[in-house]
Amino acid sequence: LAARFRQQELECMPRLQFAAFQEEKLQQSRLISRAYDSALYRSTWQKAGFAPASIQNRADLRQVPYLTGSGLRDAFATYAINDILTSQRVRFWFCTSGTTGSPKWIPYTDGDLDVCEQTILRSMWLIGMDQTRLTWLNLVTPAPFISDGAAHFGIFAEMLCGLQNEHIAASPTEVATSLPLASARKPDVLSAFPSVAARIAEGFPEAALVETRRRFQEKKSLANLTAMLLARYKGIRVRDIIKLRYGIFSGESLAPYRQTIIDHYGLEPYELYACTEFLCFNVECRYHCGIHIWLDVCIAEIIPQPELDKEENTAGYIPQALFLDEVPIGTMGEYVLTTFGEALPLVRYRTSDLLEVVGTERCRCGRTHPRVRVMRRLDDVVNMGLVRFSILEVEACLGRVSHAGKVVNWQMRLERESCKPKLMLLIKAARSGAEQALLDEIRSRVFEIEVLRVGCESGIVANPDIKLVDEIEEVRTATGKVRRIVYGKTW
Amino acid sequence: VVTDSADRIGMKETTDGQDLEQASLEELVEFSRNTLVSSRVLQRAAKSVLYRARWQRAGFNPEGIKDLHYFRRAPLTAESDLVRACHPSPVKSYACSDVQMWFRVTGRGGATWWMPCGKQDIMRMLGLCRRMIRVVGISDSDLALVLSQPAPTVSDSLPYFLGYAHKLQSGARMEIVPLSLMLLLHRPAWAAFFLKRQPTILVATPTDALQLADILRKNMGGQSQTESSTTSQTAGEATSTSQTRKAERRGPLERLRLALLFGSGIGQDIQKVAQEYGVETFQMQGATDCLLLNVECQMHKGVHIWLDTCIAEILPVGETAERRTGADLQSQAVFLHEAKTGTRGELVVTTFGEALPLVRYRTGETVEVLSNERCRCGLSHPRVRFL
Repeated sequence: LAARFRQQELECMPRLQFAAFQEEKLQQSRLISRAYDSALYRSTWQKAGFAPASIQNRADLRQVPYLTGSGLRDAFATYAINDILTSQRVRFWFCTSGTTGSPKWIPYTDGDLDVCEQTILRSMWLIGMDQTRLTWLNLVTPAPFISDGAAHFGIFAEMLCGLQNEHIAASPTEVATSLPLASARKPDVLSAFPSVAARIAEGFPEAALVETRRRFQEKKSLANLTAMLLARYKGIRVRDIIKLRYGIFSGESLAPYRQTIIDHYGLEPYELYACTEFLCFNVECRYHCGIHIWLDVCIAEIIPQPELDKEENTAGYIPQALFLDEVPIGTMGEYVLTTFGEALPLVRYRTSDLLEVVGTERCRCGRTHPRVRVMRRLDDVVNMGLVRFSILEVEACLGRVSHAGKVVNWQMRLERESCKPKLMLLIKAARSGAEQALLDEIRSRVFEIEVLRVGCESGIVANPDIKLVDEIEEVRTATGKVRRIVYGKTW
Repeated sequence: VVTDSADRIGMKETTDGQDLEQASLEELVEFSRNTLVSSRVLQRAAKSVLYRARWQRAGFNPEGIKDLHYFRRAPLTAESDLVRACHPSPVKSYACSDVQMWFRVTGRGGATWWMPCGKQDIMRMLGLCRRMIRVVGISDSDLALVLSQPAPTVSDSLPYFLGYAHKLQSGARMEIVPLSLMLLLHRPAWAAFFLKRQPTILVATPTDALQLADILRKNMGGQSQTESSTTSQTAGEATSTSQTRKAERRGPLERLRLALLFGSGIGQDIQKVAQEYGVETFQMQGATDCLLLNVECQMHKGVHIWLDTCIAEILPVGETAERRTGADLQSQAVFLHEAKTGTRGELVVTTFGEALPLVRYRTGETVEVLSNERCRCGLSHPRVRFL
């Protein structure tokens, strides 16, 4: 496993230099003064009463109020977009899935895309995908979701650095029509949501049986007969047809799917962490000991879990964050991001992603950038991978139950059935009709959440269990807020 | 013209052909003839399973190519040939060089085939995007809403080609919102963003553009369906040549100033888009199947066929109707640059593609030759009307 680096000096920068490097970038990029000009920050910062000039080093950032997802969304609803942007040279706009209301639209300039391209290339070198020509099968969500753009930015980045890989892209709705091409071109790399990859693997034996039967009917050769019999009696897995070498998985935690994917695809899976708000490819290295977070392109902080708890329990408490490169191993907490972006820098942006720090010392691959594990969401998003929705949607649907009874209280438990996310809905109801009728009505209302219905129909997530219970064991924060989402033991 | 982008990726050849954009017809014909021979397009194409057997059967030897006269012995390539070569999947020898991207093309009959795209093909697309931007008159301050179909279609890549056409050539800039109409249908509230950002340019198929108008009307309180045109128009007239189609401005996209419309068989719908949005429309042809971006200029006197990117022929109308591919048919095609004004027939193109040159590809598009004279916009590339 000879280490290969795209930007060795940056990737192997001594840990103690991160702070100085980031501080230099903080000054050079005029981050705070540029951000101060944006309507996104100006009034909040003015209220907080600090002067941009007072931010001289990264420790000073602690004076700066956090930015939340809803703050970002609200700014776009409140202000003129040009007043929010810190550069008028926007190239592309992408948006988040909008699971907690309207989506967040994120601008990218060419400079912002350069960061994306560089980290894409860095990730390829890190995995060792820079040495030979590779064929990629990219399962991307359509624009304006960013994975569609990222696939293209990767292609352009490869072209600019002289790599010549082959790319087959398919959106989730087009996977079936693209698989024949993929099987003919023998891809080496699969890039996808883990749940989508697992679903394809699950349906593959049946699809293979149908296809081999069709081919045999079309041409009655010994080879086609053998293939059909194999598909029927032995079962054909993806790995029997396509010899994939690498898998790049993003959008949700890879951990629950890792073994299934290895079994069915026979590839080496790598977890990638990126978000629409900041398209930086953070990825695991070949030692699979956590995702390297590139600290030369952002300032990363963690709000430790005890601080998050304190925030929940104490009205008005502002939690303290620690710099990612300074926290003890094992720290778990919310990821907070400060970028040097051109179009719209994020300053102390609370991502709502819960991370666990698994390493801050130099990795065996030689890189010094800290390593993390992505645990789950902290906000009101029900994140089942490709299937995401807000608890507000659940609340609205359940509120419409009226014929066979009314929903009095509810709780959602997230479990897994094998590797698939499974939702268990506990309902306390005032019945006015038969129990089954009420359950049916609740189910049909829940399936009004289209993304959930489609996810169940396509087998991406397991069918939800709905149970009527006499009492719900409520989980509440100390401030009295009911926690609607509870993560079960199998999650 | 060696552009910045070409420098960055170490390419030495022209990537956007800006010099040839302004060339005379004679220079263009000479260029395409030379390219045909010197770039060994046909010899490269002969490696592909798409051509090899058919050419052998027809007794066509690509090594014999010396001029355009011999070129006309090459068999025509129909959509059905491409579909057949890709069934059930394109074999290894389908593409004739390294492939960078694959696009799925849906033919007029609904059958699909795959279009491989090499590095040079991508660079050519970027160059043609730059050319299109110039010809149509898109400026630095424009914001384009690009409606696309999900991958693996060419239209999915179009916003990124448009964006990178600028990004790789520092200086000019266009802001782009890529948007899959399929998603917007499920999440119509998303339109709130671009209603606020107000695009100035819409890039879409006419069908998608009209569907967008429908979504805006239903969800954003836009005005009701616009009245049909008071003057009845035939399909031909609709696609043409009619002058700048600025009608009364309607709907909530207040800053929209032009619509760039692509797709095959779109003639009749273009006028509907012009009426719906009240903007100037431009027709773009060849984007989704042959990776050519032939486009109307601001004079609106037909679509310019870029003769430095292909050899264009017209298969006269009578022959088109028969849909035969025999040797007698292939010899009936006339070169576009030699066709008389008013000639009608099927457009046949030979591209200089890297991964898969399309040789004498019958586009299925019936066109009328409008002029081989230099256009008032200054370009000499022939103009046709898509019927």
